[in-house]
Amino acid sequence: MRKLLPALYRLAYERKLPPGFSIVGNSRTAMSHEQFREKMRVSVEKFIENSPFDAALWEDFARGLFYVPGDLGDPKCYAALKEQLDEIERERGTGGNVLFYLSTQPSFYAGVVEQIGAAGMAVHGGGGWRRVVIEKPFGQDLASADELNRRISAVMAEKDVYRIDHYLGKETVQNVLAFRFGNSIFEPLWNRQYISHVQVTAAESIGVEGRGAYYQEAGALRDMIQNHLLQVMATVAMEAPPYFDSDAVRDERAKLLRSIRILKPEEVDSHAVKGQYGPARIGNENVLGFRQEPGVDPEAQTDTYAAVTFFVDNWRWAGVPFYVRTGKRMPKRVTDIAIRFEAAPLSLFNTSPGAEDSPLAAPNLLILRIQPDEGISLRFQSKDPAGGGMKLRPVSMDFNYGSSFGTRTPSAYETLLLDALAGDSTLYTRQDMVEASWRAVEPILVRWQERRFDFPNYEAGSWGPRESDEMLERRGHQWRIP
Amino acid sequence: MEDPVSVTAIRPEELLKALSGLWTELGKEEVEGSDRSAGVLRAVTMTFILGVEEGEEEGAGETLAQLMHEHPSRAIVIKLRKNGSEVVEGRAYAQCWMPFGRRQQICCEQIELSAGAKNLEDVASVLRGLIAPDLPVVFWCRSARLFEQKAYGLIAGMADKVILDTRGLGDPQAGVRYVAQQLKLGRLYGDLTWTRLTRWRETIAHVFERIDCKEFLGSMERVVVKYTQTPEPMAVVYLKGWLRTVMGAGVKIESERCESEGSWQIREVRFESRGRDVVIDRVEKGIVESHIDSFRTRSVFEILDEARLVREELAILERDPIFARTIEVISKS
Repeated sequence: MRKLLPALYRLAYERKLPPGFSIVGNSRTAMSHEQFREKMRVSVEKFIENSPFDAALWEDFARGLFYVPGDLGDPKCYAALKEQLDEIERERGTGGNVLFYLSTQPSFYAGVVEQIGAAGMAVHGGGGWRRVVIEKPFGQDLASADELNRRISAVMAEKDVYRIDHYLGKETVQNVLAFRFGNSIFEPLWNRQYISHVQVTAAESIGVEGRGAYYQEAGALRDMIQNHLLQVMATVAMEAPPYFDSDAVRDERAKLLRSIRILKPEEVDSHAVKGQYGPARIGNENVLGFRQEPGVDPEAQTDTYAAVTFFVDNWRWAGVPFYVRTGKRMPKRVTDIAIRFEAAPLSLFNTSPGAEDSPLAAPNLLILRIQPDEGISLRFQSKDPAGGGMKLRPVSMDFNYGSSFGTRTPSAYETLLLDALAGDSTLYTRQDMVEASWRAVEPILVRWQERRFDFPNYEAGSWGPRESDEMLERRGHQWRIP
Repeated sequence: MEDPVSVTAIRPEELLKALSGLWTELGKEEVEGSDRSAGVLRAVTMTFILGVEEGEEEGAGETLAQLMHEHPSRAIVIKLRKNGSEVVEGRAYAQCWMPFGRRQQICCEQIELSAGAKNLEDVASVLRGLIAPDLPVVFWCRSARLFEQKAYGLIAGMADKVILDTRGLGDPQAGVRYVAQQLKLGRLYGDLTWTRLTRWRETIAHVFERIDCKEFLGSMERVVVKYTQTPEPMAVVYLKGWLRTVMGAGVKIESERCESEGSWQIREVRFESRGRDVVIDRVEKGIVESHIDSFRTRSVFEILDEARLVREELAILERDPIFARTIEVISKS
């Protein structure tokens, strides 16, 4: 409720929701419609960001809020839900269109969809659409993802299943497509001839924040890389779609994900690094190690940090490493994509001994900043006017969302919910994409399951384990500090 | 200088948020005579970490302000509080200036972290999250006490280049040995004690560019560096080391203490051969006189303030082979 209701309220505020738009809430807690409305009002007021709370608008919005209590395992709950939906259709003129948003435990997804089908809610006799939105994780591994898909697709067509990955809804991730395919100057360089390697970083400064019990089952590789970061990587590396259409874009993303080289078991240790943070002092605060967090097994083998070297086996990217890392308790919260170009083939300037190792000798770097300070920077070399002679220094050309566009950026949930209501699944994950990304990480999960790691192997507040640096050093690269 | 935004818990996130808020406010400031904002130009070409003693921050701040014009940076000032202090604080502010004839201010962001020696490691842990991405990191350790702390290594480890001033250290010789070790490890180090010698080295080089002096180089037997203070200043050790790299092993290079009215450390450099001497004599604070046979010439000996010295070091963000060779010679002798 921290994200969903505020996003829907914001859409109402911007008059983007159709008249008669209604929300039906469900949980096991007994509550009247009025109590539900009051609870939602408190939630929206608390979590709405960058928007005023308009009491008059809320009155109107709240008239479309309804509540049906019941246990998701109980068929009676679905019968009551159907009755409520039918009533809303009659009284508010929704035309029978329903979007089921499953903000439940992932283990309930398949069962809930089956019950929706059994209650006759998966289709509408009068021509209205029925769609279902599910949140990640889409399975725990390839087999469970397949099983989930099999059960859901027995009830609903793939076109009506919306697997939400809020990273894809972020403006800056969408802008990667605009940047690549709306401009012609970068695309000729976007390949193995000019790009040395790509680094994708998603760092969080916080720890598990009370989600220790959940997190120790998931881990960073499952929680971030398998879904969000591989989707981001696919967006950076995919081919241009023939046209901008949901399936065309997703076909290209899926094709890219399928091109990721599957690691052999013996390659995993040199291509993937598992880390877990230990206690440390950051600033004037003592920070717990992961194993000391409440609800976490003191011997947990969970990865709070994961770094993987992926290769994409296609003509464009053959041989170019894609380094993807994510971690908790890193020095700061930042998500970005760094595209490092090859150095100039011949160094005409700064030819003194050791100049190539200078911090100023860095080759071109394109940074796509997802969060915070959303924007794009391009670093290139320029002549330093000080001191005379042909001395070069890196300079940066920056585009910053905040200063370039005066308008507010919609949240990922606003974008994605509106898309789902409009039937646009471009920014949603398709089953074949889910399967391809599970396939890419599965050998790592298997190997990590077999091995016992000597954790913790990085201090809270650092940039991760030493082995991660070594993974890049083996190819003559190093992690940048984002 | 803009009003600082202080944070109680020194988390990088909080400080970066404070900076971000500061930029938003700066961007809204109206131009005089207009109700519209001209915005500000946020300039950053490196992360510049300055380690300074409490009480010396004002002078250091002025130096920093001068440096920012040529090297706009995210400046992080680590203020080492007096012994016993357990206060750890952080604040963010911006330093702005209006270039002549322009309507848009240029602003550099600054973060001040202050702690006593006991809590300096806390500051180092915060620093990691404050470094501006993809730009060089330079650490100017202006405080001799900070150099002696364990946290010094942590801070220096984050920098692409470290600038010290060994003459201010408790044991300058040990400082130079440390710099020599770091250079061997491939780290970039600069020493302002060496930088101050640039004018001496330039003057000597100019003298020997004269045709008749070039011939004299071949017959040189001894070089004497005369200095005024006890013990022998580090600058003299550096100058002798540099002369050794230039003259080779066949020339004696010595130093002598002499009495002098001036407060400068090196008074004279005398190049001797059989029957002929070349002398470079510092006659006044800003003047040197070169004696070549009967020929006498005076030249300006520019006195460099701290900002100029650091600026020179900032211009060399790569390995300085002459400095490296000199240090190697010194550490062997």
